[in-house]
Amino acid sequence: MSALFEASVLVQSISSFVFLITYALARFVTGFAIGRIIKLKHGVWLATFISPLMFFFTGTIIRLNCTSTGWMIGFIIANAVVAFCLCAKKIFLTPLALAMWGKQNLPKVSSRSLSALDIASFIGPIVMWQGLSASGDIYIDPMLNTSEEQRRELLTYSSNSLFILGGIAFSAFLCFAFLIKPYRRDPSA
Amino acid sequence: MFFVTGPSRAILALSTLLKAVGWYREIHRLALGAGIFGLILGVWATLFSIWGAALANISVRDSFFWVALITAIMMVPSIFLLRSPEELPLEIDDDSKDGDNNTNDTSLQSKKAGFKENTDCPELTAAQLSRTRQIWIQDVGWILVMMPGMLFVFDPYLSI
Repeated sequence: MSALFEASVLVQSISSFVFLITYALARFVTGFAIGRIIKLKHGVWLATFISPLMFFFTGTIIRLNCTSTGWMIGFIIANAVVAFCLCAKKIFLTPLALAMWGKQNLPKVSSRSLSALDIASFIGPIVMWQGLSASGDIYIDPMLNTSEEQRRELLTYSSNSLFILGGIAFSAFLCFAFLIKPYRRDPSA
Repeated sequence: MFFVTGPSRAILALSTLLKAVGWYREIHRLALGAGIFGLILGVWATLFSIWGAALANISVRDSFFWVALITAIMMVPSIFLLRSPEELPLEIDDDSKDGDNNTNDTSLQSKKAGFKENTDCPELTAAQLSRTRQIWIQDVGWILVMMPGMLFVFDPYLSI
């Protein structure tokens, strides 16, 4: 936020709070909505489909150097939507395990799924730091990015990162929409 | 310290989550159980990150003591109170056993829950589970789901 939009500390704090509170409330809202408003599989499709759209949207506004206050608010809202979807996906973990593998396998499948989240949290920062080290002569502190070249490099790095995130998120959508199905034992086995 | 607290918190979180969804599964609102469980964790993190340090006016070092104290106070009762539905069966209203509200009606249960439990799948051992292609697809799916979030949150240029 500070690097891209030169946001003040207050704006950064507000956007952090919006992100976190959306993240927290999304858990309850998702849990409440499943079964009452939306089916589990539709919820999974929706959350996994909206995430990449938001990543592509934010990547595009940064690539086009849209860093005015209005676009910054759009960026914050898109982030909040991403937070909502991320959190919704976590809530899908146990219902999905039950729908795919049944109650008898719930603890084993849930723990595997949580381990997969741990692996993601391990790989994610490593990939991110690799990307940062390759990003060249740019700084987190916006005051240090003085030249036009640094500014351009920052926008390119950030938008490319968001497009890559969108690509990964879209592959997750394809995986959940088409590949993950309730387990049936092969009769020939 | 992290090697001790990490696994113990993971065990506690997983067992509490499974108990919570187990109880809510009894009323066919399993997702709601998972949601409430997540909400409590989320609100706790939000409040503590925003207001915790400011209210107590404490150092980072002291904040560890506060977190340990609050966590202990909140966790100790759960050690004695935590039960699964198998240990403490839910009393079902007699009216719900008859007529259209029959809780054994699987289609009604599925409708209320928002999904159908897979009852065809036998209980598999960890090794049998690992030999199925489906579980690996699901694991990769979860990694792909969470990876963008982890990259996004930790990227200093993008994080908010």
